[in-house]
Amino acid sequence: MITGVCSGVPETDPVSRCFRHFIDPIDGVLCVSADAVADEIATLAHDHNLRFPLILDSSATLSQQVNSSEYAPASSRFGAFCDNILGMNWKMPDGRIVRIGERVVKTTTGYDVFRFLLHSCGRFGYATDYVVRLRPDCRHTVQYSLSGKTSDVCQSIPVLLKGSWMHWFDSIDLLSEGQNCRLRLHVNCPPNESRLFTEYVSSFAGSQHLQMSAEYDRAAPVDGCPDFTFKTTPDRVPSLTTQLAQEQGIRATGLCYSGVVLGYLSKPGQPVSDGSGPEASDCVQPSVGIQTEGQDFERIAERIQTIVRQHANELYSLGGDWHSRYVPPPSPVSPESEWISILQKEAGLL
Amino acid sequence: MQPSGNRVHLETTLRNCVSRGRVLTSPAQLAGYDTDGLGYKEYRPDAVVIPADTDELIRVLQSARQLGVPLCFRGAGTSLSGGPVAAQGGIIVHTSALRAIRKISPEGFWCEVECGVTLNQLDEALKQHSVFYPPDPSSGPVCTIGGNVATNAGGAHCFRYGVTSNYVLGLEVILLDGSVHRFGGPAGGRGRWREDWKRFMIGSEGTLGAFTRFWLRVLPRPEKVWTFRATFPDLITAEKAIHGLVADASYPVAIELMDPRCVAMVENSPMAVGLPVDSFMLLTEIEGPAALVDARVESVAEILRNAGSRDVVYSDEAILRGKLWKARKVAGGLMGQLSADFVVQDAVIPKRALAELLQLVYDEADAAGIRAVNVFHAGDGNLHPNFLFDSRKPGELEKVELIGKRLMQRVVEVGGTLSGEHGIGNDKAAYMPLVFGPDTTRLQLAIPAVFNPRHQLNPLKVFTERRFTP
Repeated sequence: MITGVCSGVPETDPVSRCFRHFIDPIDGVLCVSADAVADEIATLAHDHNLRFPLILDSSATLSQQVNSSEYAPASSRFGAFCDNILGMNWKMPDGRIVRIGERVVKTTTGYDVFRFLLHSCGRFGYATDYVVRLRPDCRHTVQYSLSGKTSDVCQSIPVLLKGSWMHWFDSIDLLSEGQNCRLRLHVNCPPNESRLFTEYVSSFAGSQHLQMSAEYDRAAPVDGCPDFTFKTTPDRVPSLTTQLAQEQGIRATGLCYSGVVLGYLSKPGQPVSDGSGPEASDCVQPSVGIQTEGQDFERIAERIQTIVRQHANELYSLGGDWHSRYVPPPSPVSPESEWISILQKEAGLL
Repeated sequence: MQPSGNRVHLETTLRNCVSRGRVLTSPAQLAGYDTDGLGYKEYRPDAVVIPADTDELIRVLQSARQLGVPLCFRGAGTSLSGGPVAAQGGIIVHTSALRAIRKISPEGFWCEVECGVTLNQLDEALKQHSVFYPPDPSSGPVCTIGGNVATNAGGAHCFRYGVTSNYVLGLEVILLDGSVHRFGGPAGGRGRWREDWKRFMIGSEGTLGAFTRFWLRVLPRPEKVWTFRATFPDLITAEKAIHGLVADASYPVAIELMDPRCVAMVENSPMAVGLPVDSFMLLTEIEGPAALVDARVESVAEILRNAGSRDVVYSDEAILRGKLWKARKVAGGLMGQLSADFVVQDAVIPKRALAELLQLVYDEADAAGIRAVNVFHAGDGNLHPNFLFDSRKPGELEKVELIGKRLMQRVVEVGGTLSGEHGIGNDKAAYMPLVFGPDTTRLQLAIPAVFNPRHQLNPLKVFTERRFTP
């Protein structure tokens, strides 16, 4: 006779199967509004010793973050947003709301409409609610800063990524602004393990001629929603990050294992080392579509377009891409334009 | 099945497509392609073609389109959902010849492989570069990357690492008109495309195009692995251990459970390993840097003991670890030996519903006189109830299908889904209305409408509506 525990809590609408807001601490899944901000999600998860590790900006809505980049610093350990969001309620262009995806962590039921739509930035509708995957929260963090000559910092990255410690850091980020750069490692671990991490990082820093500093119980890094994102291969991240910072005079964060460079059009006097990003009101545009917000917006958009033009072909050649909240993607050409037309017509996405 | 005159024309046309590849048409040759891993449902193709390279594959697709015959792509044929079978007759394209590992970039953490590369072949090659590709379905020695991508395959270690879709950076696909497209690449983005079309391709079960090669993400190989085996007297204690492991900072890579019926099956066989026959057996593994995982060993063992296990065994030594895994590894093979047929279901459920769903499996199977054993990925809530039966006995298959239907109905009711890693194929296509209503079915069927609107590629799979009409 089976004697296991089970309790029934309605998590979906019985007819439409759309998600209702819920938290399941056993599975570590949480359904929240797409307009929930990171701090709200953290509060809901905190009571169960859980966390949602993918944060770009603690005051931006989840929808704004998802639409500004497919990756956050903690993607190094946990993968892209699409690997940490399991399902969503989706508002179709005609106003109908449908459920896309699941509340369980694995599915291969039907075509993966979920991942296709998640980062489509309002072109086929938008998310009203997300089901996110939470992770154990050890309630203890260490953030390491490794600094030195730019060449030493950059050359240390492939060495760091090759080791089996790599996968246990929440984030391995190269922060670059102007001529300065440093490596930032963040780990969420039990207190008794931080000594092991510190020993490893200290030894690694010594072997790479880098200076290490550590801060304990510091919140996960939030650099803000990026103004643009480049997706490339991990081995190109150090050179691309420092090149963008040096040549464009911007702030760039390389997510080393994810192969991502987040670009910020830095404000004067905002140092790389403070770890905080632009104010949300400056950084975050409406998550759905691009709205013109005067000369400032146009100036930023023009500057990003210039940067994109310089790098797009190299990114494309590797199967990479770019994305910006300020610049719409290029118009599709044949056959993609036909595919999109058919998809919109057949799916009712017009 | 094509009329004989048409079959001659089909064979001639295919032979013109492949100069270095092979065309199989004799009944003895075709018989090997009648089924997939399910075994008990047979579909005879009209022909099998084994193209030697991408150019030959392009010609096969173009010719099939002109001939108006269904096409089905097949790797090793280990699918457990009725995927790579000729459900509507026509041609099976066996992609086994496309098996080159084209490039491994350990610095870029990617590799480029052709669709016929087997998982173990890839692992051997990656080992030399100290990296690995995490998805690990139990058919790893023979299953191909093409089949893995087509079904979004998983495996025991996906609790920590995720399934195939987490590792596909890009793919090359040939559409029915013979056009070749690359979606993504080593960098894993969209490339020049505005939309991320590769998302539709992964898990599409051969219904959108023919995959030829992939760019896959790899990880540094873990320095050290500890395997733990524990038995539990009941499900309450086993669940306590599962929940404790899932919430633990040690992030186990795998959490596998065998129910007492499966344990008894192993213990009553020549493969017995000495487990208490009335127990639930749990396997878990941690891996990573030696200093870190060594420090976690006792805390993992404590979770298992505190949950109620009195025999926690663990090791970091390869041979001993193999012994700990033995009962889990031999279970599938034993089912094949003990029973004329068996079907493996693949539902994913919220973990809190585990007890209810296991009870449903037992109740339904016992009432129908069908033997059921469970061995599954407990960390993910990915159930694999195995029903052992004999399809030659009148009514047995129907009983198993009815159990499967009731199980899937309840799975969806409790918030689960039909498949976690095997795909839908034609085995579960009839259950899709449980998950998708009219709006979402329309959304789903819009995807083949883009790439394969007449359902000539792998018809009758995923959705029953996908019937090819020449």
